Parts: sequence; structure tokens; C-alpha cells
Amino acid sequence: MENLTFEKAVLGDRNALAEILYDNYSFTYKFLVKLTYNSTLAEDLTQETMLRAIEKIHLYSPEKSKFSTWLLTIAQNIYVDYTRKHKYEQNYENIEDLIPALYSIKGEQNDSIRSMLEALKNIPGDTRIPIVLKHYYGYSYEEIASIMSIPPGTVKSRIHNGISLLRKELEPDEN
Amino acid sequence: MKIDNNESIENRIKDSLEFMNREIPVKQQYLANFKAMIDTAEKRKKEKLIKDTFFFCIACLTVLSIEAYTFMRLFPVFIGIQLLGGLLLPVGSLIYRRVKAGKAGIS
Repeated sequence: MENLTFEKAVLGDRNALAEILYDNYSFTYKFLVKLTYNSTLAEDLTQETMLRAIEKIHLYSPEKSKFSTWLLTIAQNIYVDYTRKHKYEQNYENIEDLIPALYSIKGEQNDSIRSMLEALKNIPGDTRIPIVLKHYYGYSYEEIASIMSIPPGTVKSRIHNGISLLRKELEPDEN
Repeated sequence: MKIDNNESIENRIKDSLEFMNREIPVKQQYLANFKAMIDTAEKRKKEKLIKDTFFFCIACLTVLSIEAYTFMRLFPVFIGIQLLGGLLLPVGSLIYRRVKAGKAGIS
């Protein structure tokens, strides 16, 4: 049933395409919030991702990858393009403003989540992407390499370096 | 909070991102009008095609002008090779860029 919708969308059925995009909007937006740490910017980049997906839908092949993976690839490319253009701008939001639910949890759980999200925010974007894709979305090194268009060895080293950076960022917690 | 090994830090990453994913509010207004978005995308696609065609024509004309000038002046021996290269290069690079960009989702 789902494949039929994709086939229709690829063949130019606007309703099918709108349905697929609707289903994947939140997923894409949440992925971009994890990269940008800025809800407004994530909304803009999600819109851009959707527009580009509509333009390139004829190139999507369900046999090659899942639609969500294809969307993540586009979103990731758009985010990288954005960071290149705005190299010296860092418009991260406060964690609590980004996730108001953090106010409602207290104590050690709050500290743990907050410090980890802050640490992730402070590492470079090109290191954060593979970490999010590996440790949250559960992609393999090869899949991440394909999403980011870099060799698998580079993915491994970025994740390794990222974990070391996170460890350093979180060091004060150990004391 | 003590971090013992990679596994614990990885679990913390996963737990924190899971919390973030679950609790990030998504504004409903953006979920409303995908058909309008499709219209916008189609309009943008047409504009891009016109722009690409224009630049492609300019590139071809430039190359052909250079070739014609060279032909009249100095290197008639190389003209065949140059003409072939001059035509193939812009066409090839355009096709290559479009295929590559299409695969990666980059325009």
C-alpha cells in the first residue's frame, strides 16, 4: 500500500506526494532541530527540504532507500550548505526554550539530559550529524557515509572524535 | 555524574535525543498546506530550468565564439579537437552536475 503511494508520487500524483510529505514533515523537522538547535531555522530548512524533495521526487527509488532516509540526506545537505554560508553565525536557542518540557522534570534526570544536549550543541556540526545518525537513528557507518557523501572511515573517525569531545565537555560532571 | 565507558555515554546520547525528539513541539500550521507547497516547488523548478538553459546557451556561445576566433587566426590544425572539446565540455559538465545533484538532492 505504502509502495503504491510512493509510485504514484514519483509518477506525479500530487495528492500522493502531499500525503507522503505530510507523514514525514515532523520527522524531518525534528531531525533538523537536533542539528540546528534552533526551531525557527529548523522550520525554514524543513520547508526547503520539502521543496527540494518535491523537485527531485522523480529521482527517488524505493528499492534503493527508505523515503525517510532519502529525506534525511536532503535535509543534511541543506544544513551543511547553510552552515557553509553562515560560517560565523551561531544562533542556537536556549535548551529550555527549545524543549519547554525540560522545565517539568527536575533533579538528576534534568541535569543528565540538559548537560548532554548542551555538550552536543557545543561540538562542531559535521561531528554532530554522524553522532545523531548513529546513536539516535541507528544507521550503520556505511549508511551514514552514503547519507553524508563521505567515506565510512571518515564517519568512524568523526564519531570517535565526537565522543571524545563530548567526554571532555561532560568532564565537570564527573567531579 | 560519572561516565564509565563509551557505552554509557552512547546511552546518554540516545536517551537525551529521544527525550528531545519526543518533547519538541511541532507547529501544526506547517502541516496544513502541502499542495500549495507543491505548486511553489513546480514554479521554482520551471524558473530554474529557464535560468539553467540561459546560462548553458551563454556558455556555448562563448565557447563557440572563442573557437571561431581561434579558427580564423592561428591554429587551424587543432580546430577539430577544440571544437569537439568545446562542445563536449559544457554539455558533459552540465549533465554530470545535474545527475550528481539529482542523486544527492542538491540543486
